[in-house]
Amino acid sequence: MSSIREQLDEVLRRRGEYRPVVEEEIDRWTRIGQLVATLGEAAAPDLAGEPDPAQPVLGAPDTAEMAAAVEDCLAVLATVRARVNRGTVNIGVSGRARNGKSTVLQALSGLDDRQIPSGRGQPVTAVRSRIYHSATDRGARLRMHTAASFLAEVIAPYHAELGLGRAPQSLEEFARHGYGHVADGLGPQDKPRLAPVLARLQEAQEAVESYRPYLTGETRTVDLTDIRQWVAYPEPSAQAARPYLAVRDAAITCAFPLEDLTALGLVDMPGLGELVPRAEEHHLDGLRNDIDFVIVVKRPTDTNSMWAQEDARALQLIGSVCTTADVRDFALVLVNTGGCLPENIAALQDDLDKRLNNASGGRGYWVVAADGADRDAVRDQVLRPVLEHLALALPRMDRAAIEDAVRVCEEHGERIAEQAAAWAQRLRAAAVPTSTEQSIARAEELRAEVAASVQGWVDTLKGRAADDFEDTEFYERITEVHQEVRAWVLDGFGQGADAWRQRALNRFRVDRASLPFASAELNRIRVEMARRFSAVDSLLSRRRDEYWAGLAAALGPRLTLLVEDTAGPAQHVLSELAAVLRDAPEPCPELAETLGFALDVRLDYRTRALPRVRRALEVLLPEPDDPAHDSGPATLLSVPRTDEGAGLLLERITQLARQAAYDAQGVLAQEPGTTAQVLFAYGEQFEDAFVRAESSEAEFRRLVAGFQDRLWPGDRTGPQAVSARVHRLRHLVAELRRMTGDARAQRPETERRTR
Amino acid sequence: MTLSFKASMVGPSRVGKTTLITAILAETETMLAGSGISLAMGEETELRVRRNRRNLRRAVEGREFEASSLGGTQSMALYDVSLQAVGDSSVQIPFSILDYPGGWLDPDTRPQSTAAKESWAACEAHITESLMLLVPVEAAVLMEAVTPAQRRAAVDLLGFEDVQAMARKWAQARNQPEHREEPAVLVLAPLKCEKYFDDNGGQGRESARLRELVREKYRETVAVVNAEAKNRAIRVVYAPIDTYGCVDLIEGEWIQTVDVYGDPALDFRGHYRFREIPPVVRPKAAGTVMQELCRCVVAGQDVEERRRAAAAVAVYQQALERKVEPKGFWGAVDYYVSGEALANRNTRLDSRQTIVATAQRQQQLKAVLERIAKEPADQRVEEW
Repeated sequence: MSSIREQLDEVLRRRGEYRPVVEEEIDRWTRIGQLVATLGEAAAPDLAGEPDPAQPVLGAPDTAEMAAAVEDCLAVLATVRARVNRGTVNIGVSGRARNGKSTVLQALSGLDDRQIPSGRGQPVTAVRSRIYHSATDRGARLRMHTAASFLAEVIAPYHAELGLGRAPQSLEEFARHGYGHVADGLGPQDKPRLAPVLARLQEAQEAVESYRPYLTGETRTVDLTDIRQWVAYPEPSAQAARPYLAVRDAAITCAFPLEDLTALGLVDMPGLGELVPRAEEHHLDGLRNDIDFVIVVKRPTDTNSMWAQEDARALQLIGSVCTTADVRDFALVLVNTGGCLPENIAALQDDLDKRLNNASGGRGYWVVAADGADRDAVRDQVLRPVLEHLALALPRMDRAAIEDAVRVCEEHGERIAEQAAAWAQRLRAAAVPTSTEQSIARAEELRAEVAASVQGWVDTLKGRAADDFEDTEFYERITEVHQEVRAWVLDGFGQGADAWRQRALNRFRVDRASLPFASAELNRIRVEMARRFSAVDSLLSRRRDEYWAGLAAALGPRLTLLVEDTAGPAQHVLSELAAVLRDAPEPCPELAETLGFALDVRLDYRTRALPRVRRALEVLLPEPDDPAHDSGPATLLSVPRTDEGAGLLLERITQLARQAAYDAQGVLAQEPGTTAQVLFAYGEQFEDAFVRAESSEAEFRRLVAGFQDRLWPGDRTGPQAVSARVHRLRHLVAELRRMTGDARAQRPETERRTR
Repeated sequence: MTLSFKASMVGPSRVGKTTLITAILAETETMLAGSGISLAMGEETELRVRRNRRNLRRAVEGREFEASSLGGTQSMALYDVSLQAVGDSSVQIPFSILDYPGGWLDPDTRPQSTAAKESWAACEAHITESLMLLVPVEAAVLMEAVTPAQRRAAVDLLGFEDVQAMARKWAQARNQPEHREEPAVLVLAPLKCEKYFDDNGGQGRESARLRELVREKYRETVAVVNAEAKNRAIRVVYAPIDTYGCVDLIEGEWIQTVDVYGDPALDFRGHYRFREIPPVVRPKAAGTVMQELCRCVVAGQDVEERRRAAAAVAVYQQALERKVEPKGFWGAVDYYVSGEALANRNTRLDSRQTIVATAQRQQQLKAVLERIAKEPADQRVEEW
């Protein structure tokens, strides 16, 4: 036995060595799978339904086939991982209900009915346990469900099996769910199969309060003396508590009745034909991932003495998962002779000889006859031979499993690599510009676009600055303001002629002179007229706003994409654009400064027109600046201090005021042309600085590099899209080739380790 | 045709040609003050000038006056003035300035005018013999046209087409062999320039702009003159004139109207005020016209003296024939400046004392003529 133990320990040790390699391989294939999925998405046609110009270049690689291959690899690697991750040699005990499976487990483990329930009549095993040998530890660890896992893993399969639709999402919902009418809906064919299933579900619903407190997701340690309630169905009772429903799985540790035993585990396999949902699926899963060997228990009773179809099905399932090893290395048929009539035993063995082993030809299935309740017989005739067999067979089986995984991964890897190579060649054939080339081309395109547009705008400004351009609106506004001022003058300067004369006369009498009043009036009139002519400011402002609006439009819709609020005034749009250019990650200071220059246009009345208007109003100065050179209006203002004199003064001051107003409007009438020339000059300067300055080309490249995504937001079609997709796919395919190439490169190492 | 020194004037009527003549006479009288030489006018000219002075007086009384709207000259007028020795009308230098419609130059339209048909021959002869072509320009029309529409209207109002056609005709005549040695001067004379200068009591500072505008607008006319007179030189004189010297433009009014073709057009009307009360008429630079005419006469005399010297070595008979058939400018120079008139006069005189006195007055007139000719031109005046 010592030799067997050593051999089995060596098997487990070598399995431990494989673990990191297998994990690494699984990780790599997981990443390959993700890469294939990404490739599939990247190569997929645009879902918008519009014609995709990239598709002819990209082709339609079959990533679905690759994904299926990856799934295969991961599946086979998962099986290997389950195998190498096992810290024990696991022996499964399988068999249909009522064949003495639990009895055999008791015999193998040394436990009794309190831990592994067995009985006559109704099945009693509610939770399948794993039983591990330990010379020192004795107890049970119960991993409990959470409410969510209970509903998903226990209740939902019932709903699926019964066709009840969506499973409850909470315990409350489960508790309220009406299952009473379900039985009525079962057809006569389904009823025999599904009625017991429904009954189990209803039992679970009725007892929900009995196990609800245990749905904690924690692991409970239970003494083996108390284990039964957690793993066995209770005695039939209306109010029975069912805590076993909260148990996800149970691991029992105890000393097996065998000396010098290695790390050994026993797994109670779910019985085929049990009336629980997904029985076969669970069975297969257990065969594939949990055990190294399975003992199929068959008890030849009066009604069960023949190798039945269900028994054949069980072996068939075992064969289906045993792809890398001979099924005879993996399974043993235990004819449980306990309490059976010799003729029934003989009948079964005869049937096994004839129908099972002869039918398969060659080496027959391993069949052992022993009383499952006879612990010595089980130990000596079953367990010991099985362990001796596994000591020899497991290294072979492990190697076969690993080699199979390597082969599968290699084949799929090569196939994927071939596809990737063909794809890479196709992608290489698609000559598309690099992102740098694209960026430069786009910068040039944008600059040319802006240049053409701005030039058009400057041409418009030039047209407005031409001698023969008539800014009718401006002239009309000036005429309007002049006429208003003139009307004010002719109306006795807003006071009425009579009132003005009377006021003049009064002042004449007070001052005993006409000149003081006349001087004061001229000063007042001059100030007032300068103020009144400022009404043209509105039009100057409008021309400036139009200039900005024209510039914003000339910059084109693409540049304004850099601005959040394009609905605001053009001045705001340009300011914001300047700020974006200035504060960009790749700043464009010259372009920003040029925009700032355009925003600094000054066209207001005070700056532009007032100095010349003031000059025109000098005729209203009471005294000339240089009396030696110019006599001024003194002779006009000196009038008799009479009503007639006041009228004369009004007439003369009115003439002077009319002249001043006329000259002022003459000054302003030159303003449309001057304004247009100023704006044209600003426009030309802007065009030169923005488009033709030495730094312009470089800054446009920086602009495009920094804001490509914002400047071309819908960049999903056209040549750029093709380029982008091709570049992305090239990168992904290269990565895929590297990873599948790695698979080949790693193969010798894997094989070396395997051997 | 009367023997006189001739000048032709072309410009729209109502531009102030009579006022210009009045101003020329006023400044000439100032120049002649104390010289023993006076200014005499022909009867018709005196009537016109008198009417003009009366209107000016009325305007002064009315305290504001308006220049008439401008329009093409519709009829021919002849202004006759002469420098005359005081007390002796026989000692004189007569000048004859013709104002005629520019439209008469067009042979297609000329027959439509009875006046043109009647007077064209005399008119053509006068142009051919004119030493000076005087082009009065309404300065305000040039300067006050600020909008494109007004600038377009100014072209029509100043009659550029008529002026240019006239200038061409005159230059062609001056280029004829018989006139090549005669003086020739084209005077571009903006009128009513008071607003734009500050050298005659005004505060204007736009003399440079006025000069540029005249230069720009009449560049083609000057070019035509120079091109047509390719065998000789023609003086081009720019003489911006204050015709009143005491007014300022209050407002220029651009009036919507229709032209002869029925198209919309603008007319210009200037509203003026007096700068001072009482207004004192102080024309400025108007004397340039008389000064230029005197220069022509003096220059002609110099040429004639050189001709005499040349004639001394020529065939006597030829010289004799030329002298006995005096005509045109040279005839006038001989007659009025070189002593022929005096000689004729002397034959009719019976008093030696009278002969001596008359000879003295003749010398006096000649001296005045030379003095006027040599006086420095007004500072505004430029030779282009």
